[in-house]
Amino acid sequence: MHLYPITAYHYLVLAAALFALGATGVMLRRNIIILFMSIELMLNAVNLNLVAFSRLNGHVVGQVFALFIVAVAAAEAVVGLGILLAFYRNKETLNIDEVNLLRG
Amino acid sequence: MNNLPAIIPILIVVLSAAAAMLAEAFRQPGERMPIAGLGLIGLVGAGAASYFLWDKDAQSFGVVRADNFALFINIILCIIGVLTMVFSNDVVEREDIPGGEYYALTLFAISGMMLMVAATDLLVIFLALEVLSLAVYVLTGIRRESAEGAEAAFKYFLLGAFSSAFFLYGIAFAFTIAGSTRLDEVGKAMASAPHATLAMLAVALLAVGFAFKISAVPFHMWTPDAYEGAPTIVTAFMSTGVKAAAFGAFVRVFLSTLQPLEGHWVPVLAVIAGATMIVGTVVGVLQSNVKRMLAYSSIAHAGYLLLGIVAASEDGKAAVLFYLLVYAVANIGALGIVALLGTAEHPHDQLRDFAGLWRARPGLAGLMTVFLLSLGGFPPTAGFIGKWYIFAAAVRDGYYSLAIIGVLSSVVSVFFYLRIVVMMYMTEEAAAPARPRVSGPAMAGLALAMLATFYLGVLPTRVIEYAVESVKAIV
Repeated sequence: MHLYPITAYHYLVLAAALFALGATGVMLRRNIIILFMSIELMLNAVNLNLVAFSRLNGHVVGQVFALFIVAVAAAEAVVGLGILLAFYRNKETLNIDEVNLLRG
Repeated sequence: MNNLPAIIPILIVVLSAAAAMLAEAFRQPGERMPIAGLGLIGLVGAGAASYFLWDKDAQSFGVVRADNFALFINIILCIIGVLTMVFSNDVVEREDIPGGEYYALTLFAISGMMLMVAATDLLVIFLALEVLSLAVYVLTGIRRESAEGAEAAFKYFLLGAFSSAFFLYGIAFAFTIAGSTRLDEVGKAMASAPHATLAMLAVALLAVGFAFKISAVPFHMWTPDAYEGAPTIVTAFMSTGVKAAAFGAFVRVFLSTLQPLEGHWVPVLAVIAGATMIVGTVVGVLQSNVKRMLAYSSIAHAGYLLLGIVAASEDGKAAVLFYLLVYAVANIGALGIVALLGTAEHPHDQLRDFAGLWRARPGLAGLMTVFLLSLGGFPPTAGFIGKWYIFAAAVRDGYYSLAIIGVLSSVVSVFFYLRIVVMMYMTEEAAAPARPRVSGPAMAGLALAMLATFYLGVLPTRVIEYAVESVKAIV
């Protein structure tokens, strides 16, 4: 069995695949919690990209950036779940198709 | 200590936000506290600090730069903030908005906006974007028992987080190319881009992130819903403040850092600008809710501003800055009046609510007329000069078709602004809705906004000179 070295190209493709999966999830899934998780997946694809290239270039800027993204994602989750809770109390549903008060 | 000067305006606003939070913590239940005053002090202080930093080109920590460009937008943001505070003092209690949280979040959002326009590092731009976005998401849904508010906040949050991911991915690609997130390094690497595909991806994803924040077509879907569902005073704040900050960073990133790739992104932005002007105007005509109508009008205005970026001669950039000021003053005035007339039970945001306003409140009707005419671009108001300046820059750069679309769409937009005016003057009041009294300070704020609208419309030269001087800082 041959083990090929992992190159920058592999990281780029993996991150792109994860990002595309997340974006597809946001557009296709109907459950709001899963939408949130898909967005987290997209953020983590970005993290992977940053960390990989930071390592390949031999400096830490990208890794620090990834930590910032983790922190921001946590803050975003707090606000997002808070808003979600307010929404759920008013509508008693987590289906995105029921988000229909405002239109036109 | 040499690192601090550039962030002094931001620090002042953050301090006043912290003071607002503390004030709320010490407030007895039922006690009235002039928290808006704290915000007012902070914003006036930040404005003064920005004034003293003018021409100093102060830098902090290598990532924040208070050049004239950032300071010009800082001052616009301070004007927006002061007007918001003055109106909020009347509105907050009536609208059942929790005061301490509201003022603190508004001020934190302003600090994020100031940081966003002064940042010279993509990481800091992203952090500032999140600071302002998170605060504004919460503000949108701050009335928790309102189903519309929760839905608006939810939509805004979901699409906002989605677009942040795209923006971040764009930054990651820029970092991949340049090995740094500093704007100057990214610019250098882009100019000699060895990986043209990656560079294109970076530019495209960054453009998506910005286009969402400025609500350009086709990323505008959240705008009408968020603007309609949010409390009106929050709509007034975010339709002006978020736009000013996002356009500031947009101009800085695209017109200086990504300038070398101009040939690739200008045609795309030109199409987006045209589509934004058309969609904002055409759909705006169909609305019967004033907040929603002004939301579409703000989309159309984003189109005019984008046209200024596309026609990025020196004039074009200065025109963007001038127009941001003009738009901010008129839009916050118009939405401020809607907010001042509304209560939690009766939002006063339907077109027919304005019937007979001229008889009931001649002063407010007159002010509303001035702001709407400025948004529509009538001389001698500021809107006319702003539009003329942008379209002239577009024509000079050879974007004739876009300039024609711009002129036509402003003509059409006059139709829906005048619908409100006609309603106010020529329609009899039906069942009189109880309109609340407007306090002295709020009236003074509106009068100042009106004076600014006329001043910028009649004697614009001085401010335009400042705008031209400011954009020199980023080239």
